[in-house]
Amino acid sequence: MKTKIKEYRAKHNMTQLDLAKAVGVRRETISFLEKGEYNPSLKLAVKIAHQFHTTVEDLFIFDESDFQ
Amino acid sequence: MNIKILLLVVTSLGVVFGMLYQTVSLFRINDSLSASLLLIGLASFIGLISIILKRLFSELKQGITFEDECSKKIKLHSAGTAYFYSLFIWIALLAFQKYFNKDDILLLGLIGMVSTLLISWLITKNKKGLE
Repeated sequence: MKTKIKEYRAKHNMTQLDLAKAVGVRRETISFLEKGEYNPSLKLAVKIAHQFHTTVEDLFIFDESDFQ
Repeated sequence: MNIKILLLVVTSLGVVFGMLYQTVSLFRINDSLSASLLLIGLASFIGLISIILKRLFSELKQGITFEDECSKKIKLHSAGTAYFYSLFIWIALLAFQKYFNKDDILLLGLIGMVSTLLISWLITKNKKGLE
C-alpha cells in the first residue's frame, strides 16, 4: 500500500505532529502510515482524508499484491 | 491527568515497593545472590519507567494522545505472541525444576515473561504491514 499523506501534508504545510494532533493519533502512527508500514482503520483513513479535503481512494493507493 | 497514566504510576510504585521489600527480605535471610539480582532488576525497572513517564508527561503537555489504534494493535499483537512463548518458558522451567528451588523458578519465569513481552513488542513495532 502506498499513500499520498506526505504530499498532502507538505501541500497543507503540516508537520507529522500537526496531522497527528488533528486526527487524534500518535506521531509514530503518521510516520508508519507514510512509510506504508501500517494499514489504518477505515475510521482513521476517512479522518485523514477529510483533513485534506480529499477521498480515501485518492489518499491510499492499493495494488494487486495488497489483496493477495 | 489521564487515568491510564495514573494507573501506570500507581502500578509502578506498587512494583517498586514490592521488589524493595523482597530485596530487603532476601538480604535478611542472607540470600545475597537473589537479592542482588532483584536489585539489578529493580534499578532497571526504575530507569525504564522513568524514561516512559517522562516521555508520556511531555506528550500530554503537547496534547498528544497517550494511546491510539496503532499502539493498541501493537500491544495486543505483542501480548498474544509473548503469551505463546511464555508457555514454552514455563514448560522448560518445569522440566528442569529439580535443579532450581521454587523461588528461583518463579523469578526466572517472571523475568522470562517480561523479556518475551519486550522482545515481542520490539519485533511487532518494527513489523511492516501491521493490520
